Amino acid sequence: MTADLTQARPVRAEGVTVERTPGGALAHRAGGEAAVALNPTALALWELCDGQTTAEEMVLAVCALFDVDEPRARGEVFDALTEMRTVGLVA
Amino acid sequence: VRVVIADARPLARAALRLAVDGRSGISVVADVGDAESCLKACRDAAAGLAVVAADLGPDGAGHLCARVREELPDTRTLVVADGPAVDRVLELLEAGADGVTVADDGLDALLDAASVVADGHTYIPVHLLGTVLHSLIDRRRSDEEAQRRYRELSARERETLALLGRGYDAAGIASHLVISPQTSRTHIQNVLRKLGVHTRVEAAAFAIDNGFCDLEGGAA
Repeated sequence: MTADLTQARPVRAEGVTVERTPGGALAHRAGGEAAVALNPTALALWELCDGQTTAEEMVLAVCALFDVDEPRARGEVFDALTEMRTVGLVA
Repeated sequence: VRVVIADARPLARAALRLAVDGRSGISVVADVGDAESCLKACRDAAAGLAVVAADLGPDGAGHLCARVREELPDTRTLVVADGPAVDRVLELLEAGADGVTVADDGLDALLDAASVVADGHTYIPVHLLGTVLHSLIDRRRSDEEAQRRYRELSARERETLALLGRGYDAAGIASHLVISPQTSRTHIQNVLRKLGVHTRVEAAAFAIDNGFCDLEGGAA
């Protein structure tokens, strides 16, 4: 089930570094754990995690840019943020 | 996918034709040097995709993309931008381009972009995606802030702002609104204070930038 992150202002976890690849990026965590592959959209969302931008703002921007409906964009953005939280890329 | 290439530079479009024809399912059906020829070629050849140079004259690729979207719903547009300027990419997308690729990203990126756009999706270079989204968010915040400040104005102050945006001075505003010059100046001062600007020029720019130059109720 998708978490409700509407008002969340996710922030990039400290110590994470990103190495761009042709298909997106590899995110390396501070503890030396295995790198996490990010697709281009996940990478863009991770870059937006500045602690000021709300998840809902991300949703509306994705809607505007890709001409997708809000429920679909919200589901995809929230799922991606939740996953990045789970693996420690986002606090 | 049947493709029309539009670039004002004959050598550039000939080179692009040679590079992409027959690759990734692309069949180049025409290469043209101006917008009108592009529209005609897309229409005549029932093209599925127009690959357009960003600097295509005389009105630019954005104008052509808007016309394609309006007149040829079965044709998609991919603009080849000279550089990775985010504002330019956004401008092209908002004008009607279905995708923007950057010349520096090379041929493989262009072929990938053509495939994505022809399939009905929006294409933005991966390395620009985060910045473009951030720019969209900044713009939305700016719009919301402008709306918030505008809502603080009374009906008369909104009329005053609209007239400032149209270049009226205090006397002209007084005459137009059939009020005294002193009342006109009071409205102007209130507008400046509520908008948080210091000069009439700033207020006029605010009105123009945010589309607040229309008088409500349709009065000219």
